Amino acid sequence: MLSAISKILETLSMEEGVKMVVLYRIDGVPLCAKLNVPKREIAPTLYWLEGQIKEMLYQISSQNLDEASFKFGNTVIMLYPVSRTTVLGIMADEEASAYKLDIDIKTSCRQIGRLVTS
Amino acid sequence: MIEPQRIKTGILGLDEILGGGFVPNTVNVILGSAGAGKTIFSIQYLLKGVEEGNKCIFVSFDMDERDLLRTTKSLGWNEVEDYISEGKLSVNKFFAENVSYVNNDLLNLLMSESNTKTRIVIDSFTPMISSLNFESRNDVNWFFNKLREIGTAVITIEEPLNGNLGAASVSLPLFLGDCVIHLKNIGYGEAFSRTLRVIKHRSSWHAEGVFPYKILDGIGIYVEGIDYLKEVKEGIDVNEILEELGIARKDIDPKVMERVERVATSASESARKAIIDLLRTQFK
Repeated sequence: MLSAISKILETLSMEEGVKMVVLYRIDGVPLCAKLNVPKREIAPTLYWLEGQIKEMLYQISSQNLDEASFKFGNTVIMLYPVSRTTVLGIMADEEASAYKLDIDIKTSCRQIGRLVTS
Repeated sequence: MIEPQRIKTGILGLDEILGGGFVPNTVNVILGSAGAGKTIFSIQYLLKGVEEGNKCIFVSFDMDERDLLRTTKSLGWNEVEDYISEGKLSVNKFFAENVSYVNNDLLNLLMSESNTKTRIVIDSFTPMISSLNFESRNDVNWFFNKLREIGTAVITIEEPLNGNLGAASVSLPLFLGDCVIHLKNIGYGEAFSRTLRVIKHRSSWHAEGVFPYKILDGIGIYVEGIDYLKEVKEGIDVNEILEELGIARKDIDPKVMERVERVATSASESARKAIIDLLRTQFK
């Protein structure tokens, strides 16, 4: 299962403009991550995310949100609930095609959702 | 260098994550909240020991022989009763209020029951050290050294439900133990509801990351992730990298080459990049 999830995240991370893809557990634990850029490039945003992720995931879960997004300069962070216990986080360039990315993310969410709930 | 033979944990899927198992004569800490599977982990470790002909000692402050048998029978491990009557597994209940980590009764028992290959479980260690402060670090270390002399130990530590790991009774064993494994159960019932993470493993490689596990009748704890580890481990060919960089093996300091070969088999995701950077520094 981890292997299959890793492949799905890898494919998504290869999309144009995507910098990082992470599958989080609802308590903020990163379960699997794929980076498409050097770590130092996204480190400050990553540290910010690490500090906030628990609260953000709680809000997504308790308010039943379909998605949540944040913008830092030209970087966008999007969070999509996958299942009761997992949330997919994507860090991408502001210029990345939002429409195309949204479709790809939702496809990945469905695929991962099937894996983690089966 | 010949690596010492590892102690198989008995947990399906865990030895690969630990680089082969526990290192002999070490203290291995299992941290987890109520219901995470610490006792099942401990019993599996001992059953593997019995299977391998080791002397196995179970020490608890909560469970006596009858309680242990109730747990093992619920998992389908009916052979445990025979192991106890045959003297292969020794079950000992102490009263926490009468025992401290410097108490001779416990150490005497462990020493008298042990032989050259002994597996010890203390489930849980928390009652023994619940009143300690950070000044007791040396005393806990002394006790751990005694355990190391006797055999290879697994001790379980109760994770406070509020998640505070800062108390001395939790953090001291984590600092002083040779290996720390964190079992977590968030209780939502999906694949990642129960996860295992190796926080540290002294003198050994261990896999990074969070691995899902299940508790199955008959098997006990089953950790998933072997397929993922194999994937990470594959694909580093040192000769190919040398060719790519245009460097001849003979031009490299043998000590550096030894490090390169070692990191190539380390299963680290960034190993390839580290090898390239290391080789490049040799020719600047």
